Amino acid sequence: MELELSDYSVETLQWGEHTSLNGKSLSVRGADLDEQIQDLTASIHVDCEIARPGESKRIVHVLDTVLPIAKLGSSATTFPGFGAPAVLVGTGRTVRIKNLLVTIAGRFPHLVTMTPIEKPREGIIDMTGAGAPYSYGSDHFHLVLSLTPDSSVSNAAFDHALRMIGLRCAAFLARVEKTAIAPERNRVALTPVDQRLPRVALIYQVQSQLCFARTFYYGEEISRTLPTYVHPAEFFDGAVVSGNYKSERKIPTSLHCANPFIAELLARHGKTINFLGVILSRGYNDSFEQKKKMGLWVARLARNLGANGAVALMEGTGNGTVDFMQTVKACEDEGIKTVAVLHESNGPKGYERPLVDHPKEANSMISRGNVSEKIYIPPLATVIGRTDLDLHFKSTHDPRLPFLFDPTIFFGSFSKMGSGGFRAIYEN
Amino acid sequence: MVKVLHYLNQFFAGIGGEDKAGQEVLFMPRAVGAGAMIQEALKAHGVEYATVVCGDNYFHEQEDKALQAIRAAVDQFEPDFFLAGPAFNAGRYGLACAKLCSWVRENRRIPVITAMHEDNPGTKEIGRHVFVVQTGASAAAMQECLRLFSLVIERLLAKDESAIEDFRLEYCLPIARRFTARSDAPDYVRAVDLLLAKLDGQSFESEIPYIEAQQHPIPNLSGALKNATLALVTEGGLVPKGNPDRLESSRGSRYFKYPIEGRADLRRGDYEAMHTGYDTSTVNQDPDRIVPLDAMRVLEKAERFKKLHDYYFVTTGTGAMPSKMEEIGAGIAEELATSGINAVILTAT
Repeated sequence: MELELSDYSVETLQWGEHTSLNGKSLSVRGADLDEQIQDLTASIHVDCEIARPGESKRIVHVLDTVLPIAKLGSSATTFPGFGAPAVLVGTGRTVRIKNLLVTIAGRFPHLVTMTPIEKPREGIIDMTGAGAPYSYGSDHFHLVLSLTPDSSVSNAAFDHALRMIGLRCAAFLARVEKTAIAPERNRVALTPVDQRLPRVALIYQVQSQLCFARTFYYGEEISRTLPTYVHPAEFFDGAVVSGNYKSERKIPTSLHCANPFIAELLARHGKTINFLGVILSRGYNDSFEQKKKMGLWVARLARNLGANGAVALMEGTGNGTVDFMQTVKACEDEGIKTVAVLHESNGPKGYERPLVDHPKEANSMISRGNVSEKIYIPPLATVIGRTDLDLHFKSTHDPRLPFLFDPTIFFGSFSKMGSGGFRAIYEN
Repeated sequence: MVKVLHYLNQFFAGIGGEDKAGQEVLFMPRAVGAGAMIQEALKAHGVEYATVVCGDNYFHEQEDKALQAIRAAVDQFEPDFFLAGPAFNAGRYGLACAKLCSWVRENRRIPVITAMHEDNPGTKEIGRHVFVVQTGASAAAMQECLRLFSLVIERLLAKDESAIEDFRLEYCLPIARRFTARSDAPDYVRAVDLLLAKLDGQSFESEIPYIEAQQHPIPNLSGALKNATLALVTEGGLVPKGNPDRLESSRGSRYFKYPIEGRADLRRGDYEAMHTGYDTSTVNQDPDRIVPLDAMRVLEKAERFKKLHDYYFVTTGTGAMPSKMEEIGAGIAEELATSGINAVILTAT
């Protein structure tokens, strides 16, 4: 199984008369985007704006970011299971614009009818300043679509519409006419390598609980399912899509498509490791017994793949940490050396226990930093999105004013803190 | 010109002892008490010195008002340095110094310096980047402490990073706290490197230390179960519909009790779960599934135990800091113990 990637990147992004990529300059015609989504937006008002890395802009109420990817020259589509009957992905040719995101922002139409667990959490992206190192996507170009649904749209319908709007615009942008630029070509494959290299799997635990806090695989909600094996190439084609609006911990759809852990393991494949592929599992199982079983099944799958070692990452917070730790424990019990990556909650003053659950088997962990530490967040020149920030149901805040908050106010902050090289250390 | 604002309690400001502990916030545009020595030590820089004073009792009994007034003083004076204490082992004073230094540092990002003994409860409230000079338990070490305040200000004014770091190591309290810092590589690179070291049998170190969880052994029931009074307690966030007491749905800071006397079960529609940590749809459909009143009534009727307590206790066990949850747990336990409860069914999520 092999996927060929044709990678483009942009250096400038602006509105134009035609949608096209000329060299590294992308012009987008608003009407072309409208055309892609007009059947979805009869009752949803869409404001389109651009945000570029380093600009003094704050994007508020971010719900998801999608990477422009599309299949080339075949009947297959990216994001299988959405918009067309699913076909297998991860082979053939895929075109990507690596540093561009379609960013979907907005508020759900009927927040008051949502239970606390259903309510999206605020997520902002600061393109510069103190918040940028905590904001996933601050180093990308953004085509921001701020959605304002009217009251005839149900929450479930809005959830569906916002996902389809993002996926369609992303596929459309990947396919734009390209002139004066040749793509960088990359290959995703797990070619046979020296059998003496350590055999390593990636354990990839997502949050999937209920509508508004779920993740899809080929369009199916990953709930009450067994863990499964996923080839890395399938991720690049959008096999995993986010429908989770717990902003700070969320793995956005674009990060499922271009996950640095998968990229790192592929880059080392055949050199220092034999990368076996990805085990996709679900966190947030309801009972401890279920959490434990999920861990056992992941360990059994890793064992059947012949893994000697595993890197494990998770999307989520306390509840999912228990599933995650049961997984790490089960792997270690099966003799699979496992390195687990997690954020810490040491409290604003730094002296709380770092993790809610920590079995002694989890003896080799990578830290993403203290997510409960207060940061002074200065204002930026422009706010994209008009209404006040929701400070996680405690109060609201005018996004044009400075405030003191922890990293959980930033979209995708747990992943961003990790990839940005943050970790927690003892400090006197 | 260097502007220094110094926080003192009523005692060290020379206003009075315990009898004056109710002193309201007082701003004085000059050095008071111990401040005079620091002002003298820094005079080569041209110092504008001011003092803000508050009684220990006033600060803790009227904390919001006190903080507001002190913040106003800080905003108006706009100091370059904020000093508090030394508090030695005075608990209330130490807490006030710690809270103020943390607030000033977070909001104004100027250097803040306090001093206290290692056992002072204020050490638990110290924010990041606060210099906490280590002192003895009593005020006998005052002179030395003031010398150190002046010394660190000198070093900060000189912007001598290595001298500042030396000061931290030599004179500041080592309070083990974890904060975010930059490492030399992204998490995905470090993770694979760590795995390779582990697979290779090399020595390796976890970035997150293993801290053994405090064990809470389940006590044995004294006496027979059939003579026991039982209570229902949950961290599942179940409250009467409409959430009359506004229990937080995450980062809970409180607990409540609600009456169940005379009820056979908790009816659907009468209750809802305020909780962002678990899928609450089952509980909203049938509240008995988190507070199992229906099952308990069956057992009560069968005389498996003597009586079910007339209230259930509830908090929200998600997103909160463990220290806060310990406080809540202790509060519930104390109420139960004084209500003659012998055993508890604790439903967790």
